[in-house]
Formats: sequence, structure tokens, C-alpha cells
Amino acid sequence: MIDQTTEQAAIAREAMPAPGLTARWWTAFMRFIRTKPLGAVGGLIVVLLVLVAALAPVLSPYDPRSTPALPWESPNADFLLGADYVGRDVLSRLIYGARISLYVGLGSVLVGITASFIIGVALTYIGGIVDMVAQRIVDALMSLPGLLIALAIMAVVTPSLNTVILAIVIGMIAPVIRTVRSQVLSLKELDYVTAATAIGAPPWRIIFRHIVPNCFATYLVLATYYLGFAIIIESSLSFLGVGTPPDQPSWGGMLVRAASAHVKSGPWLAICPGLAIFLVVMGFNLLGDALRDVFDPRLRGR
Amino acid sequence: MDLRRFWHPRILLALGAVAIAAAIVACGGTTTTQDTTGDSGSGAATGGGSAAPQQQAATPTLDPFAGVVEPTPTARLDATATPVPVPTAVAVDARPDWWQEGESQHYRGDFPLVATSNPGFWDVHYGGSMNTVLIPSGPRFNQILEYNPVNPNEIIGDLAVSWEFYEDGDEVGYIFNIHPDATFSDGMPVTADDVAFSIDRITLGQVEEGVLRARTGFLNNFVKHGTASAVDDKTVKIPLRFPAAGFLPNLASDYMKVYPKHVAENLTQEQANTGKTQAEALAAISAGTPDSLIGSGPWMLREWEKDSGYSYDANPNYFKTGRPFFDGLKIFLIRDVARRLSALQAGQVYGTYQPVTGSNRPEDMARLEEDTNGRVRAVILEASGVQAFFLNHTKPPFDDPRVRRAMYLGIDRENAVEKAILGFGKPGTFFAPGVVEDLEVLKAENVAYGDREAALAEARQLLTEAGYPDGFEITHNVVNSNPSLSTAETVAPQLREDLNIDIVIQPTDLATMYVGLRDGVANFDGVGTGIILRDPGDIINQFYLQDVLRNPHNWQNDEVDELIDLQNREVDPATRQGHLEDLAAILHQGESHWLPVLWYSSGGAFDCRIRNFHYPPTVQLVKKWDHVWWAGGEASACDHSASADRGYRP
Amino acid sequence: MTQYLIRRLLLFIPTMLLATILVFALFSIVPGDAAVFLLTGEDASGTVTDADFERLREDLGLNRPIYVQYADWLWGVVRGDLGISLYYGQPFGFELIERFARTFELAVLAIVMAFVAAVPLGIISAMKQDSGVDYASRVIALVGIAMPTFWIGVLVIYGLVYGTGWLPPLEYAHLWEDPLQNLKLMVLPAAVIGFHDMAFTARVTRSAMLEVMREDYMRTARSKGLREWVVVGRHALKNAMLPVITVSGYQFGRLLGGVIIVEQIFVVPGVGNFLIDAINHRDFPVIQGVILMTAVVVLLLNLIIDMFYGVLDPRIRYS
Repeated sequence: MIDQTTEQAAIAREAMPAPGLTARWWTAFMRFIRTKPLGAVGGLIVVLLVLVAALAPVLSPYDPRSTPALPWESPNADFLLGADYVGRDVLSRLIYGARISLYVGLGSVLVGITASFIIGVALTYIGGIVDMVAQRIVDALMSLPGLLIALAIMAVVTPSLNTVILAIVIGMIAPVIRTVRSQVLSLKELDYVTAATAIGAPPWRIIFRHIVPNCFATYLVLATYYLGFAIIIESSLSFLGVGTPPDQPSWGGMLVRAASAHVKSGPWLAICPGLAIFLVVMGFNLLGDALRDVFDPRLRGR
Repeated sequence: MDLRRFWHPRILLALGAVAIAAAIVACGGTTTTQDTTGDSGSGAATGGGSAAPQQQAATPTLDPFAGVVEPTPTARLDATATPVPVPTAVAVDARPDWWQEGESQHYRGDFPLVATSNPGFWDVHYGGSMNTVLIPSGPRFNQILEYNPVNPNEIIGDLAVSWEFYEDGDEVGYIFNIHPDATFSDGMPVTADDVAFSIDRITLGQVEEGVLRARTGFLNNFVKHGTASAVDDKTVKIPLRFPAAGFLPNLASDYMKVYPKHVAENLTQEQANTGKTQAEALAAISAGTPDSLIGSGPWMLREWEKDSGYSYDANPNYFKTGRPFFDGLKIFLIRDVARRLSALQAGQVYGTYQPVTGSNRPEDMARLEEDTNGRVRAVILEASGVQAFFLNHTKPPFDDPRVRRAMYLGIDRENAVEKAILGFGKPGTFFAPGVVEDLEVLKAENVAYGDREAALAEARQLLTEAGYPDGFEITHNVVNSNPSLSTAETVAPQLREDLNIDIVIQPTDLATMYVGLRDGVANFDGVGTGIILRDPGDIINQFYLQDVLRNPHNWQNDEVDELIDLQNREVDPATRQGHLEDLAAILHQGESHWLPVLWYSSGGAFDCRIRNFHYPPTVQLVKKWDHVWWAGGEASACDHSASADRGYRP
Repeated sequence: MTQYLIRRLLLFIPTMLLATILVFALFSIVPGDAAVFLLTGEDASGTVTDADFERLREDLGLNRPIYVQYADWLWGVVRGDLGISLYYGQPFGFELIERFARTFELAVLAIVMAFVAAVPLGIISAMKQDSGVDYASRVIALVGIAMPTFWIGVLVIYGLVYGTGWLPPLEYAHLWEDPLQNLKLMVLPAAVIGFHDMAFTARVTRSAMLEVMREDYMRTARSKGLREWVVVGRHALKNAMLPVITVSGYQFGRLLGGVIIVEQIFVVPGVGNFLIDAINHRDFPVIQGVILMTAVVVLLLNLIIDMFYGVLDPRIRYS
């Protein structure tokens, strides 16, 4: 019950007049860490990922695409995590892989979720036949598994990081549009929004003053979940042979290539990228769970 | 590797020149040697006897089941060999010794194998490839001739008990005597009519309506459609267009199956009784309905489940009595590599023998052997294909021969062999290793193979002259499987670091790659190419004719054409070798449209208690499974010394 | 209710049309078609003339404009004819249904397994919200979703080979012919998918429980002096399970994605392998058939769940 009291205390503190913007953010941040330790761990993993990705050229001992070692060389002093099937340094590839994971994850989330929001909000305002048709397209996309759609798209386009992002985005866009649309619809029904409409506020004002801020929480939660989802889909596409080009140090690609050789060739190669994916996706999910708890008042402690 | 390219008229010449007669015929233990008549007078069509001895010598056989076998050193074309004339008459030995032993070891159960893809066609003459036709349908039929399963370089009779070469005025050809006991699984005898009908079916050619003869149509080069005829019930006459020494070796390939005429024409008693229409009967065949699949071979289809596997029962009335040495044959389909390897490791299957690019890598097979203490044995066929880069010589940057030569110089082939295929192969030469070029000589005399620093200096110089002092960036389309991918991944960093040529690797699936090559839209591709014959003619036909897949932008050079023509018409092997060496010298200027990077080996694996498997000349031969048996007992009792030196790095 | 049902069923038609048009359009711009594989085999090599290609493409009807092909296909579907596989030259309707039945079995097993593992985790973490137990069970539930399915599959396979020497059988057996063999083959792939989906079910359970436990009747029940496990078991669970069950049902569509991967690793001849084979061979009628069937199954399931939900929860009104 300690958690409960601290949270109540935290809420109480928050209710006090805010001393300043920075301080307020800091308070909220500290409260988040205290009340949501799992989320904080998730956040820490994410921060680490960002750091590793940003510092990749400094951290990694070798160029991730060069082949300084022997194929499948065991971990040793020169190559701390060994080498892969053509003699590339696994550690360097793992470090650079953080960039790719972040790029694929953030890219598909920024493009996908943002596009979904724009489409979702627009649809509720346009309405009519356009909304109707769009709804059917969303239904059609939702009746097919995301991976299947991504697979079909990858068969059409030439594989590269950006096309992988495109495939992931189209694979995940439908359920997000639906979530956003229903949320916007319910927001529009809220008293103050109806009131704003009644006094003749233009739609863009309502959208930016009322709808968007209220959707921000949803955006953040969906974004963290789909970041993890995108990383997993990226690796699944590699398994199906249509993912990121093999010389790009993508964790999923590394894992797939290790899994398609004899296991004794390089067990470290089948473990390291898998662990990296595991930690990062776990991190994003924990963060997402925590954010959802924070933003959804119904789920706060009883 | 693909036989279809043989349809081209130019190939016809090349094959003529191949002149085989090495063909070879000797059988089992007691060989009936053939009388020979020289046919070297027939102009361009008849080559010398160059191919056969060289083909024999150059095929390294790795036979893990017969004592320590080191890879036969790939001999150079034997310049002193005398032309071997076309054989005339041969009779076939009935039962070699191993047949007896196999029979005594008959196993009351299934022989489980693993393959990677679904059968595409149950009609063995219809289209497709090794995976879709040969592996599924090969066991159900016999050919007229076959490669001796225990002696890879020998051609013996399959349905034929004897055959002879005849000359009748202008007409030349072969007469085959069919085994008197040979019957189809529905009880109808295999007659000369069936054989003639099958030859007609095979030579029908692709352009005929509704017929796909992707793998067999090239026989048309030797035999004119509609000329084969039955002399009597068991004797068939196949006239040739010219005295072609390449005819018998091609006829012995596992694609040249004898198909029951009465089934194709819907005349079986059973079908007559059940009142099936011909259309229904044919539909049942393409559906793989076991009762409708009639062949004379050792196996009869029991069941087919798409994406799961297919199985056979031994044919109880097989005319080679006592064979096969199992009650059944079961082929599981596993797409996933890890699952395939673990099925072998756990002993769920006793073997895989499908060393197509990308399916079974030799290094994985070697690890499997190591990991199971030799219970699973790797079989590795040396240099079974060439991994090459294709340059579009019609567009920048490769329209400049200096850039092409810079690429030729910039590739570190030794390093590529070491890293991309873990040493299971040889540095890329234009012809199969050791056939025309001598690697040692190349290393000593050609900087591209020897002095790396000098090669790079020259390459940089050339790039500067061509206007690319700072290198360039180029997209590289690569077939999405190994060793194509790993080769690209190995060579790209070399060129990036040494010549500042930034290669963006773009994996492509086969259909896309195929269309790209056919339409000539691609600039820089990485494709593997398997070979059937080690004869240089094979590579020439695939890479230097106009409009062929491996010459997508129709690169052409008058000197090269002249030498190709010369060696085609040359009867004397020594002179031909001279022409080929001259040709290789031109190609090694590195300005043609393709650059061989490496020759890769192919792998398979068998449980060590499977006996009597011998690696055939190519992976597309000896697919009937009527010669191997299960020795039983403990795997630890296997003679492990046999695998002591297999030429791979553990 | 009947009106609602009819309206939902009518909405199926545009949805399915759109799904098939999307896929048809997508694959019409993929380079290469079935003719490539029919002529050149799976290694796509050799010298085939353009004339050969054109003849074969004409035979297969592949050189017609894409809308004609689609209209032709659609007309066939209306008459109950899915067409003929370009690659195998065979009708495949019955096979498709059989494949779907197998994959359905796999999916049901997976959902059941996910349910069995995830619901207790979700309940525990809801009851002990923000405690160490909550954290532990949430992390456990998340393990599966944080690992790529194929990796779990391969780890399972190698774990079995090196740990026990036993592997699931390679030969498929029908559930009604040899249930034991069938389960031996199906349990592991189902477990892998279930493991991956556990996180989702656990999360829904947790939030449903948290929501229910804030309801007034819970407070009433507690204030009556009922013991905690009775309160949770009798009142909370009953009400919280409704969304969990329905959400599990909706998962079928999502599961099909994982099935494509798992079926390859565990050699299950289900619809995933069927589809991969068709995509590899550019076998358009088969791809279309699978898409259509998937859409029908997912939409029907969703409808059934909605109806079921309406029956169980009288507050839902169909309008």
C-alpha cells in the first residue's frame, strides 16, 4: 500500500500551484520513476538505445560492413563478441544495429502513427461518402494480417530500409486509424467541444485546441507499442527473405542469417542480436504500459 | 544447371565439338568393350574426343562411403588424348556384385530424405527443374541409358540391354534393345513403341502449343522430332541429325525418361474399365493421384501432401529384380534451414541430396558431420557452379572497358573464397577450375590473381583515367540466396575500402532478377550459375552467345567470336585447348561483361549407414534411389576414417 | 438484431472486394509471373525465348489487362469457382479449406494456450497493482512479445535437438485420424504463437480487472465482508472475462501473420505454407483465394464475437 500513498501524495503535490515549467516537468518525471519503476526501466533502456545509436561511430571498434575477422570467429580480444558468417565484427554490428532499429522503429511510428492521426481526424470531419469508403478500406486492411500486407508490399518494392518502413506502416495503419477515429468521435461529443462548435469556432481551432492535445496521450502510448512492433516485424520480414539488405547491420537480419546456418557455427550470433531485440522491445512495451497507466485515469490505483 | 540452353544452334556446334564418345560405355564389373568406328570425318559436327577424358578427369568425386577419398585433382584438358570415336555396340551386364549385397540388406521400411520444395509436375517431361520434376518424378521412371550410380563417369544401360551405332547410307543413329522384362507398374510391357513415343515427346520442343519441354527439349539438337521408330517390339531405332558424340551422355541424363504411351494416350485397361476420359486421366496425373501415375521405375507414388512431403512404395514388379533395397521412399519437404539441419541431426531423415545454391551449404553439412561424430556424413561436390558479377557494358560506369578492368582487378578472389564460402570453392576463373586456366600460372602471371597491391594500383590508375578518381556508387542486384548474398557482402567492403566503389546491395528474388536480366534493365547483378558439363563449351554457350540469359546486354567481341568458332570446329584436342587458352587470355583482360568471383562447392549429407551412394558427375544425375541400402547397426560402427580428409576446414 | 446482422453481412462485400482488389493490384506490379517459374524452374536460369514466354503467358491468360483478369476472377468467385492454380494447374478450393482448417486448429490451440497462461498473470497483476508481483507477472507476460516468433521457434527446435534428441514429427496427421500425432506436431508451434500473444491477453485481462474492481458492486461486495478471493472470483472475474474472451477472438486475424512463420519452422502444411508457396511461384489465383478466405474467416469471426458479446452483455444494443 506504500505505492498507493506515495502516488496519492504525488497527486496531491501536483495539485499544488506549480512553481515553474521546468520544476513541474521534473516533479512529474520523478513521480513517474517512483510510481512506475517498470516504466522507468523501460525508459532507461530506450535512453540507452538512443545513446548507443547516437554514439555508434565512437563506440564501435570496426566498420560494421567491413570483414576484418574470419567467418564465425569465436569471441576473442580483438572481436569481443566474435564475428559473423563473412567475418564482420558482431559487436560493431550490434552497436550500429541500434541505429537501424531506432530508424525503422521511429520511422514507421512517426510516419505511420502520425499519418493515421491525420487521416483519422480528417475522416471524422470530412465524413460522408469519403469516410464511408475509407472505413471499408480500413476494414479490408484489418481483415488481413499486418505481416501478410507487409510481405506483399516487400514483394513489389526493392528491399531497403525505407521500403521496409513503408511496408510496416501500411501493415499497421488500419487498426491505428480505427482507434484514432473512434477517439476523435468521442472527443467531439464532449461538452466543451460541442460548446466550442456551437459558438462557431472553426474546425482547425477545435482540432488544435481540443482534439490534438487530448489525443496526445493516445499518440504516445500507441507510438511506444508500435515501436516494438515495428522492430519485430522488421526481423520477421528478414526471416521471410524480404527484409533489410543483408549488409545493413539490422538485428533482425543478423538473427535470421545466424538462424539459417548450423547452430554450432556461431551460437553467439544467434544470441546477441536476439537479446538486443528482446531488451529494446521489452523496454518500449514497459514504457508504453506505464504511460498508459499514467494517462488512463481509470487504471490508476484503486 | 540447366539443359535448355542447348536448343541454340550454336550450341549444337559446340556439342558436336565436344565429341564425346567418351561416352564411354562400360558396365558394372564385366565390361563389354565396344568396337569403335571413327567418325571424325563429318566436319564441324564431329568434334575430337576432347570432352570425355577431360570430363572424367575433371569431375572430383567425393565418396565418403568408400574409404579415404581425396578430391580428384582437377586435371587440365589432356592435350595428348587421342579422339575417342563413337561406340557402336554394347551389351549390358546384368547384375554387378553390389546388387547382391544390397538385396541381402533389404530394409523393411522407408528411406527418409529431405527436400526443399514442392513437386511442380508429376509428368516428368513437363517443364520445371530438378526440385519440381526430377526429385519427385525421377524415381518413377527409367531412362534408356543411365549414369552408373556406382561409377559416376560411366554410362550404362537402364532400360536398354544393348545398343549399337549404325550407318545406313546418309542416315546415322543408334539402335537400342530394350530389356525383355521391363514393365510398367500397371503390368503393360515397356515396348519399343513407348521408347520411340517418349523420344518424340521429348523432342516436341517448346514452341509446340501447350507443351513445356524446359529440361528435355534440347535433345531436339540431336534427334529430329518424329524420326524415332520401333523396329520390333523390343528394338528401337533413333536416327541422329549427325554423328553426335554428345547424344549418349545427354540421353543418359535423368530427364530423358521413358513415358508409357498407353497412359499418355489413355489406353490402360483400368482406365478403359473405369470409363475415365483422357482429360480426366491427364488431370489425375497432374494432380499426382497415385493410381494414375504409371512408370517402369523402382518406385510408385504412395501419397503426396503439398508442403509436407511425398512417399513411394517399391515397385514389386520392377524388372531389376531385388531393387530397390527399401520398402519405401519418403521425401519430407522442409523450407526452414534450421529445421532441416535439426531433422538430419536428430536422425528424422537419413539424407539430403539437393545441393542447389542456397539450400545446403557445405559448411553446414561439415558442421553436421562434426557435431554428430560422423553419424551424418557430408558429401561435397567441388566447384559445382560459378558466382559472377554481370556488368552492363552499355551504360555508365561500365560502358568504359577501363572501369570493367578496374573491377576485374579490384576483386580479391582468394579473400572472397575464404569469407563468402568458407574455403569451399576456388577463386573465380572464366572456365571451371583447372579446365582451361591454370590457377598457379594465373597467380604468377596475372596481378588480378596474384599481386594484390599491383592490381589495386592499376585499378586506381584506370579509374582515374576513366574519370572516376574518387570511385562511384552503384546498386548491385543480388539473388536473394547464398552464396550470391555472401559473395556480395564480402566483395562490397573490399571494393569500398580499396577502390572507393560504394556498392549498395539490393537483394532480389529470382523472378524479379530473371525479368531484370531478360529485359536488360539491370546494371550490375550477382548471379550464381551451375554447370552440367565441365567442358568449356558449357560456359561459352551460357555466357557468350547473343540473347542468352547470362549475356543480357549482348556483349560481343570479334576476336572472342572467332576463337569460339575455331574451338567449336576443332577436332584435335590439343589445338582446341590452344584456342581456348587464347580465348581465356582475352577474357582475362577483364573487359568482358561478366567477372567470375568464385567457384562454389555444393553439399549434401547422408547417415553413415546409408551405403553405396557415390557422388554423380552433377547434382542432377542419379536420382532413382534404387542402388543405396541401409547397413543398420550402430552409427559408431561406421568407418570414420573414410571422412578423415574431405578438404574442408572443421 | 436481424437488421443489424444483414447490414453487417452486406458490409462484408465491399470489404472483401477491396481486400482482393488491393492484393490483386499489388501483385500486378510485382516483376515476374508464374510463367517464369513454369519455364525456368525454381532456379530461374536458362535460355528461354521471349516467344516461349509470350505463348505461355497467353495460355495462362496473364497478358490480358489487369482489370480483365480481375473481372474474370471475380466472375469465377461469384459462380463459386476460385480458379485454377497457375503453377500446379489444379483447382485448389478444397485444399484451401482443408489448409484453413489446420491453421484454424493451430490458432485455436495458440489462443487457448495464451489464454491459460496469460489470464492468471493478468489477474495477479491487477490484484497486486504496482507491487513486485505485478511487475514480475507483467514482465513475464511481455517476454514472448519481445522476441521475434521465428527466433523462439528456432530456439525451441535446437533446444529439443540438443536437450532431448526428440523433435516433433515431420509428417502431418489429420486430427480425426491420428489425434496424438496431430497434437505432437501442433502443440509446439501453437505454444510459440501463444507465447508471443500472451502479452496482449495479459494486458487486456489486467486492465479489464482493474476497471471492474473499481465498480460500485465490487465495493458493495467487499463491504458485505466477503473474502477477497470470493470477491475476485465470483464478481470481478465473471465480468472482466467478457472483454478478454472477445479480444482473444479478434486475435485470430493477427495470429495468421505469426502462422506464416511458425508453419515453416514446424513443417505444418497449413495456410501459411500454402501462401508462401503461392507467393514464391507468383500463383495469383491461389494468393487471391487465400486472401479472400482470410478476409471471410476474420470478418465472420468478428461478427460472431460481436453477436456473442451482445448476448452476454445486455447493455450492447445493435442499431
